[in-house]
Amino acid sequence: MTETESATDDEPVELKGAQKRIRDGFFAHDSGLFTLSCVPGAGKSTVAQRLAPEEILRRYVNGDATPEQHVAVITFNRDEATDIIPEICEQLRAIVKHDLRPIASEVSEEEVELLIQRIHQAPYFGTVDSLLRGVLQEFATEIGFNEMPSVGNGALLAHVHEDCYDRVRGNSTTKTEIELLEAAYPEEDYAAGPSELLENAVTYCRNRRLTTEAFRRNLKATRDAVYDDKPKSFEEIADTIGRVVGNADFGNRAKESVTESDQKELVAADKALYESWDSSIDAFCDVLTRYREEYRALTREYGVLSHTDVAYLVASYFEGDLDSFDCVENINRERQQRILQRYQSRLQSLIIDEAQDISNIQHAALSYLAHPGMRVFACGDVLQSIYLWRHAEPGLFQSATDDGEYLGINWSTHSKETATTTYRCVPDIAKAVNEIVAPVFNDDARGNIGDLDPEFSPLEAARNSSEEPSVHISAFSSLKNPGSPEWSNPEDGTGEADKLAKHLSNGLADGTFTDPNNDPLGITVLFRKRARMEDYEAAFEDERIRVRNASDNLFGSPTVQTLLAVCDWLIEPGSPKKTRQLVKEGDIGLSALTEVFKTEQWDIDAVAENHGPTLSESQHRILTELQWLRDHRSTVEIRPASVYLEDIIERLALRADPDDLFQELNNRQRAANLDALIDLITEWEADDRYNPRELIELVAPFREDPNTGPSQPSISSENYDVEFRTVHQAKGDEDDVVVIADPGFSAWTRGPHTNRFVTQGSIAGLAPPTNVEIPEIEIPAFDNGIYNPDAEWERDIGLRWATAQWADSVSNAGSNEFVGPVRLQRIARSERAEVWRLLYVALTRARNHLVMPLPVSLSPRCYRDRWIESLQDGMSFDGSAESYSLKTDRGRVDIGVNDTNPLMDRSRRNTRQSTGIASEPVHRGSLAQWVPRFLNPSSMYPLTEDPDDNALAHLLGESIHTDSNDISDNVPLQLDTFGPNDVGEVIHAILTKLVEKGVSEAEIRSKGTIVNQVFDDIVQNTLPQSRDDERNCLWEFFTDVVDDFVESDLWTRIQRCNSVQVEQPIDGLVQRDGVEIEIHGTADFVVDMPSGDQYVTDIKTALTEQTPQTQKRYELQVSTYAYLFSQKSTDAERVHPTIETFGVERETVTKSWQKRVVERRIRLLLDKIQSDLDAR
Amino acid sequence: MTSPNRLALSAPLEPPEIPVIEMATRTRRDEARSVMALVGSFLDQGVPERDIAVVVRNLETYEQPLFRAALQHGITPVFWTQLRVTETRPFALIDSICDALSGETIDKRILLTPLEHRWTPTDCSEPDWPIDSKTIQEAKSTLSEESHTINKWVKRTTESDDVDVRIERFVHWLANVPEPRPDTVASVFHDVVDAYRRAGLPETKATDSPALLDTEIDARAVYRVKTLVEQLRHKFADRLDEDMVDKSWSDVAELATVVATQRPGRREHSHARAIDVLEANDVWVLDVSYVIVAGLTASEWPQETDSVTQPEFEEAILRGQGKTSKLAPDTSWTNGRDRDHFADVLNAAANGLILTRYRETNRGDVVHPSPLFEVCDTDPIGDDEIQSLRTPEREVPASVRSMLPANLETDD
Repeated sequence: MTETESATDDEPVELKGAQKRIRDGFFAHDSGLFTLSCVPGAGKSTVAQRLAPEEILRRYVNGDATPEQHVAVITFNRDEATDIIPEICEQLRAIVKHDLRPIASEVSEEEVELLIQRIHQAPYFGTVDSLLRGVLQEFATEIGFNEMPSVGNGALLAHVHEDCYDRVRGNSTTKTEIELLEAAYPEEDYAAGPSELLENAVTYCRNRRLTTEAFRRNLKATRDAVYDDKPKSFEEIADTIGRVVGNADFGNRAKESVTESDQKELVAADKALYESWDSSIDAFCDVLTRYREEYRALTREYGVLSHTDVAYLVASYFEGDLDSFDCVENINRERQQRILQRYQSRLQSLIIDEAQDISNIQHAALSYLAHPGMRVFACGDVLQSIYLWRHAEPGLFQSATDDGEYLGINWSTHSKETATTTYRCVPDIAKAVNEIVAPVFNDDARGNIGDLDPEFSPLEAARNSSEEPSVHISAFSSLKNPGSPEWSNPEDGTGEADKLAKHLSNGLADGTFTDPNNDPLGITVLFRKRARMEDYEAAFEDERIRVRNASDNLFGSPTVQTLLAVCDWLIEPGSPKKTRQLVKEGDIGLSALTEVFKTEQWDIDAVAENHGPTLSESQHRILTELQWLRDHRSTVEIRPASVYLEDIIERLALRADPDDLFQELNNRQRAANLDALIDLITEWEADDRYNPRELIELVAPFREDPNTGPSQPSISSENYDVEFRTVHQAKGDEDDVVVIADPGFSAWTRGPHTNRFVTQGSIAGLAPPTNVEIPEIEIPAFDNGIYNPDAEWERDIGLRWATAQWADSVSNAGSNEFVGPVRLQRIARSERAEVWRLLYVALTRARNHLVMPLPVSLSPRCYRDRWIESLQDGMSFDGSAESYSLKTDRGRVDIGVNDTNPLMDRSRRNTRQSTGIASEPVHRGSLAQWVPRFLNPSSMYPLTEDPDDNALAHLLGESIHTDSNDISDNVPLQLDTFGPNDVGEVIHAILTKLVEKGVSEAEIRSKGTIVNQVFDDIVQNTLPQSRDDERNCLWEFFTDVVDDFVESDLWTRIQRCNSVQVEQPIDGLVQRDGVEIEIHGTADFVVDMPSGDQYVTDIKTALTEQTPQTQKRYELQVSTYAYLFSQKSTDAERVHPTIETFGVERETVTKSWQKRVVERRIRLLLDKIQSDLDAR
Repeated sequence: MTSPNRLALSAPLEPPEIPVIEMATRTRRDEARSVMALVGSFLDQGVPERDIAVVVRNLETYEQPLFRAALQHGITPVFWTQLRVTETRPFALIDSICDALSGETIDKRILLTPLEHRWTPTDCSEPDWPIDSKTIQEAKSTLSEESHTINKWVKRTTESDDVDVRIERFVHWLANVPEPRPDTVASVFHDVVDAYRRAGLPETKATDSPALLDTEIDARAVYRVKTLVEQLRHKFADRLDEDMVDKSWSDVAELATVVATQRPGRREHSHARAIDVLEANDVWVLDVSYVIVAGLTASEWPQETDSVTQPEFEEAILRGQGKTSKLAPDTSWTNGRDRDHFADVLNAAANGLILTRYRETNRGDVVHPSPLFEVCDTDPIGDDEIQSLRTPEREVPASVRSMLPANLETDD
């Protein structure tokens, strides 16, 4: 419940305060913009999900039969999007059930169900991306896609970018430029090379809808902000120093402190840097032009787009400039207008949740769908905007709130509200958060340093106070550098993470962090970055706290890595090189055999055969399974990757891990990781098929750098005590206990000064090239002189790029300024402001307890660069070891300092590391032995006699061969183009046809025209390939058979019967030992006699003398017919099954066996199958 | 406001009169494992295979998770869906032969792929066919990387001492395959498939599990590809007449894929001890003691169907007022078809019904229950019980146990 507590679950919850006012305003107008700014936990989504059902209901009552078609509810977050429909349905029911609105009485419960059914089909409820995807679908094929492309397939997109780079690299027209860029921006561990720079540039250009020329101007504008002009003298450099430091004296100091010869050297180098930078920008943009062309083509070739691309294409399509932006010509303008009109006429209400996270291009695309006649509700919180790096533009929501401008419309009706009541945290946490962040957001050097106006509204908690402290400090002492490994987890175990771990561990033991039932509360440890997670994990492990790290990467999972290593090997399992790679690097449990493999030239068979006795059971098993995989390699070429990967998992028991090869958190996580990988590949593949080579190429970027891939899935909380997450991962979530980890990190260590390509809103910059010789000469305020890109771990890399250096640390300039050119420093300031919003988001995830590690003393203080001082100041923590009470404007807050009992021994929770069946190896050999489910009376005998031998023929529906299929020498048949079975089939078809046609005996005996015709038709259809001489022989044989046929009792009965039917199905069931077998036969003739007797007859064509087996086969067939009729009829005694044999032998088989022989036969079959199984 | 006829389309279904149990798990794969654990527990209790059916709305998303989960529990499942012929070895064999015959030059991988798919000479009686995978893989790593014409490959393989004579024989055969005409296509592939039937299929059976899971698929594929070859002969002739294809092996391959992907053909399964897994639209005539219905999530069942008509138009016809009363609505315009199928499932179960769902995706996105749950008053199985069910011991949840007749074999 995020809005207000209701007395009972059944009672409806009403909106109050700002929420109610904005709702009322929304429904009081036919059009307009309505914005709601909300503090964390204030239930902004709740309002969004209340407006929609009421709007749908109102429209319905007013006669709109399809109201859901006119409302869009969108959010940034995929998880929240899935809640939209269930929540709207629930609210709709509540409105009507509790009569919450006057219109509620105008609909019946049946109509509510109808509306709910319609809501489930609503097209515009979901994420912003899903809405725009739907729009793109309308014209995707028109702009060059074969079908709707897949969106957001990271692996495929990485592949597209890789190919784009390869193509521009291999293109002769951009060869020089690429060489220049590769020299200027060589790829390094923490520095992007040209391929990454180009990829980022494409995204930026698409997000801002920039042509490459406009982008070039942008980069040059940044260059111009750094250099007024090409430097001609040291005076000019000195002037620049004075300007960017904010104190002209520094220029003079530079002139004084740098020797004349150094000045000359610097001017020369600076000129070279200027020129080289200019060339680099030009080269970059020239290559980018080609790269964008390739990207355009390859996204179509691969059928893939990023979410940014989708928004970009939608915006450009409606803007009508796809031709200049994406080289798509001949857009059908009429169609484009029709699509636009359809959306605009449909969408009457647009409800946007998490509006602060909308990007520029999403906003642009949505602007085309918006129109002044609609109502727009947008809710969000600028202070929770933490996705600048994903191009979020919180300023758009701020301008909507402040100025009434949104989606390209200056709204004449504009209403705004702010909801400050939070339903998430207890009052003490709310007060603590206010104490910490209010000064932060009011500080021009911290939260208020960026372009946004962070209007902070203090939190007002709606929940009841708790008796025990909710805010805790884990106090510790350290003289080390905050944020360093020695600070967090020193060897003596007294660091930040150590003390925190003890605090939590004791708190779990003494009940501080447990619920009234003594069950542990959920604990989330939030980090800004992953850097210190390992140190924290080590400290927590020392305290026997089990950690789940939600930041662990899926492709970093050892089991996933091994699976892909085997898949890689399967590309060419006969290659010694591949086998060597697998054995040495695949972590498959064979590395101890490296020398043996080497001796045997990486031949797995040789290792298995020649070293069998020395192999461990596990090694032997793995080798055997690898052999199996190799021997079945062809299947990986024809089946989906998601299927053959499962085969590998099964064969090598990767989920089960019987040999403990994989050091993962636990077996459930291991299984979940493999599940997640398979799901991911399934999603990627869709209708495509990736063979091992293609798959390995596809996942190469993730294997190389797992950080770029997805995270491991989260499993149930029962297997860990705390979860580590980054603040970004926790956005939108909450937990009972939230810990602010590693608050001593330095915000300046990464920023524009360390990046080669920077973007922020309308500003983009490419750093100067790194390959220009610059003398290492210090200049005032810049430790790294003119430019030293290698100094990436310092606050500046020289005069000619951005810095993280505070102006007042080098001069008496303003304390809220960074040193550096204004244009670049705007980027630095915006990024820095987001660091503080991140703290706000982290603090406000807590429900019942907020824990922060703080040092008892801290010197020097860097309050502008670290969270730790702000926490310390906000809590007025003076280093005292005692818990204390903090006085705030809204009342006192009890702060617990190390307030858990160190003497309490924490017995671990019952962890039950579930060894669910997924963790057991699969043994296909133990599957139930195949038992035929369907039997045919005619083949029952041979199949039950020898099921194993006859299984294939049975599965193929072939006649099961017995000796009767041979041909006697006396038969005048010449069979080259057809076989004995064909003869039987033809004779059988002719005889039944003659009876069916009612051909007279005389006609048959005379072998006249009709008989000839039937013979010819059937032979032609059945044996089109037969030769004339073969047909002549066959005719001759047939005439003998048909003569016998008209002499038979069967024929006599046919002449005297009431009716005769041919090819009649006879079906039934036999059940034995819980096994049910269906019998499906077809009787050639069913003859009903006037006496009431019924003759069921099959005819056989004998081409050789019958054997005892043939005889038994026929007898069993006859008995089976009898058995089946006995199941169906009480008068089964009057049914007479027979088999009439014609040809070389003439015989009539009637029922001589008991019906129960059929059940005995089934029993025999089951026994035989079991004994075959036992014999294996 | 809205006519009763229209409202009737969204009227609630009749709840079943048998016990209904709900089982919710974390992910789809967890759900599949729980479903098969439940099947296993039924079998443990002596319920015959034919008294159990697993039903899903769409096998596309459930076949693999259920298949793997079934194997994990030692259960043989059969999925009542048509064979994906293009993912079978017999089809891959003829497809790879077309590939090898298509290009002017081919590399060693394309050259050897038909052998990987167990190409065997027509007149072979030797036991050493099809060629073992190891020999083929070794040839792959020893032959040169360059592409050659088939004749050049003939020369290379003949001259080389390292190449197995059987490979040489295959390359010769390839070189002598006639130009593609309807009759030659048919005769070449007839021979190829017959040889596969004789040598390849028994190979599958020899290394298969006792349940003959792979053999059955392979046998169905042989049967289907034999038919396909016949169809191919006629289609190829027709298309040549219409000038729609060239006399090329690549066009033959393309045509074969088109014919194969139409996916008609038999669906019956031959294993009497296998558990039936069906799609909901196949359930309407069934009468099974225990039905386990998987995938009852909001996003899967009911599922929105794409429609080319405008929703306003559809709704007008559904309401049937005025002139629109003469027009027949499509069942996909409401979720009626899915509701009907669900009703069929409810009716198919004679003694007990277990409805299952999952709560989140592997990415952690929430997955909501299907609104169809509202039809039934369900008795949920607790998480602990599911955990116990999914152990090798398969502890039967109490609510499930109460569904079973007293005279069945039990652990108690």
